Amino acid sequence: MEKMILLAVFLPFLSSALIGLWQLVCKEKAQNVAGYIACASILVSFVCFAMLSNEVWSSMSTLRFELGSWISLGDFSVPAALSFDKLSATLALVVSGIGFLIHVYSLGYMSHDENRAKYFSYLNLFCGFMLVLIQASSLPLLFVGWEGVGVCSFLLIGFWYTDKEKAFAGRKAFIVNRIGDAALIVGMALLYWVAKTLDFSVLQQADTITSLTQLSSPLLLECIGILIFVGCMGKSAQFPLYVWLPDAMAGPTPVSALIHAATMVTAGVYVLARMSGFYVEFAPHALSLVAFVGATTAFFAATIAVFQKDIKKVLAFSTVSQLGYMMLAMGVGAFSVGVFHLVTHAYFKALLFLGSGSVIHALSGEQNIHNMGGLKTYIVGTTVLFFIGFGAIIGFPLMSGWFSKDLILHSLLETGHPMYFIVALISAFLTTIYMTRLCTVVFLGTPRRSPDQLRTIHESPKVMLVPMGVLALLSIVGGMPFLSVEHSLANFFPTLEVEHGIHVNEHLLGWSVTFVVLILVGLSIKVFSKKRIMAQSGLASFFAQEYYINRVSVGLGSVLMRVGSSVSQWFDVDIVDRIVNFVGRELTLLSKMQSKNRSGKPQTYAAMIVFGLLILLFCVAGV
Amino acid sequence: MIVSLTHMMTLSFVLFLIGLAGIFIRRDVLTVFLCVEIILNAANLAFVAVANAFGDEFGHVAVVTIIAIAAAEAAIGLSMVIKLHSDKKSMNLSSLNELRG
Repeated sequence: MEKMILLAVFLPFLSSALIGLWQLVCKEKAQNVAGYIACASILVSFVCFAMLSNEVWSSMSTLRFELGSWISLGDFSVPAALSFDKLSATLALVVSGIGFLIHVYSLGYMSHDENRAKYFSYLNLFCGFMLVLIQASSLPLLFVGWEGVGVCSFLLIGFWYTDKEKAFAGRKAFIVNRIGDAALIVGMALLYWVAKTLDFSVLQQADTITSLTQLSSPLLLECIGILIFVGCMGKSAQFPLYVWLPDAMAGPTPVSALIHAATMVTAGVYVLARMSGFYVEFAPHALSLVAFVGATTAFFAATIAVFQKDIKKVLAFSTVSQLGYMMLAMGVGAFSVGVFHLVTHAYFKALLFLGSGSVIHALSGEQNIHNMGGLKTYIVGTTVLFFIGFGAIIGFPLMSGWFSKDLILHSLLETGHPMYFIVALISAFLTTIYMTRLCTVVFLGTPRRSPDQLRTIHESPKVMLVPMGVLALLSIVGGMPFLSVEHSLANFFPTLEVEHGIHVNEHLLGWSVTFVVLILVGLSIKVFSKKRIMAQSGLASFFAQEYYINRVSVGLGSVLMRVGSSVSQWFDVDIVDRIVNFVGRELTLLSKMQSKNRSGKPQTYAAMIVFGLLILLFCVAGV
Repeated sequence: MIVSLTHMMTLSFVLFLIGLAGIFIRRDVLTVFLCVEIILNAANLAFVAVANAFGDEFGHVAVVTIIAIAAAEAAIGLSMVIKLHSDKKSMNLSSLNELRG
């Protein structure tokens, strides 16, 4: 068993290094084979995880693998240990499974790129770090994976770095994530200070919990909870730290599907799920902050998505909105529901991104939806698959999104948050509107491309359509009771005390929401197929510009940077330099004065030596 | 008359003072070098005297070692004196004042 998990986690690293070195040595030969090596390594990893999951799924047991000591400094020690339980099993299967499908898709999507070996090396590295993040048994090791996926995200967003804007987008993602990561480190340090451990399993133990309640002030523990959540806000693109995710769409589309929709951006949700015991026990107020931020994000990102005109930007804001949904579920204590939505969202959002990639591929790089239209007759396969993803995200009955979204809405009422319920409901309707708009403008209506351009439209190859087909199948059945992770994870998480729960019939709620959603779909198709809503008028441009949050925060960032740099320049030039120069100048003067006294005669020096010896002698004799 | 430890130490001290005075007073490089040797032998004498008085062989061993090393030191010292003479055309110590501030 131990060998198997080692294999599963480290095989992607190994193949990444292999491909990376190989394409350095012989650039041409590596390009064609690299993709197959990468796919094979992820497939083996997936099979290993599937076998391991069997082990932990039926029981509550945790498999733990000690790899030895990693950090050992006095009292502070961090073992390098991997742990594998139901939660990690779920996530590991999603990461390696969807990771494999997207690797296969990339074989087709990147087939014309001359640096595809490098691309596959990065993609493998990402999977490796993501698996470390998920399997880590303690916060510091999780942080290694956390930063590793951040680096891979940076590398892949800026994969076409010769385009200045894309390189800038990569840098932006990296820098914005710094804010969250700094908070996470501080939270981690404080947590170690009060709890004397960072191991997840030890943190959950009864005696740690009692000693924490006795020793620490509740305020400090709440602060730790908030700091760790700020880290999650950066990685999971919550308001106001979401600004990097829309720009991250500069990367290749499979990367957007894997990293910026299905896996990496859900790491924040995973950390909250992993720390759920801590939050429920010590930081309930931090948890309500999570719910508030999640609800805000879900609503505002959905309103922004309605007015975007880039196909990938619509999906990016949709991802931000859905992540807000997950955070909202986490915040009200419905951890298993949040993780369930994470999984179903991974299916359908990866599918939608791959579908948009297929559209972009078919149109040779066109991303503006207003230049598309009427594509359903040209790319039938992609259209069908995209509509399956569409059905899943809006909550078409019995598809995966239908189950998970209804569970979130239901749990919001059950835990007594009617305000959040209304916000989430409106967000769900907005989701319907923007997704219907996207599908209508892109696939329905009349083509808006010239006949010459229409002739060049080509359906994607099978190597791209088959992974999409598998994801479509998962989007359809992924929420069915027999595949639902919610049920088996339900008793894995602690429960939050509920004060004023509102009980409603789950089925009644689900079907009535569905009824409204389906009406909205019909209305939206009518509205959007007639006229194009352009982001010109006042209110619309306000939404399209993301409430100016992006501009304000980037502006604020650069102002802060300028102020900071001029302050530190002043400190360096006017204080540090002056002190250093003063010391140097005065010492030179002093030594010049001293050197006047030096005769250079050997006998004077001998006399000085003897004189010094005498003083020493007297000192010794005196004592 | 028995030569006691006091006599020997006195002799050693007197030799040391003679050597020291020589270093300070004489201007001739070779004589100064000789005075250094005298100081060295004053120390040797003290070693032997103390070793004899306390019956400790280590003092004798030390002296033999010092004499052996002093031979090497004398060779180096003399060669430096010769080099000095060929460079400065003078044996006067006061001509060696290049480190003057």
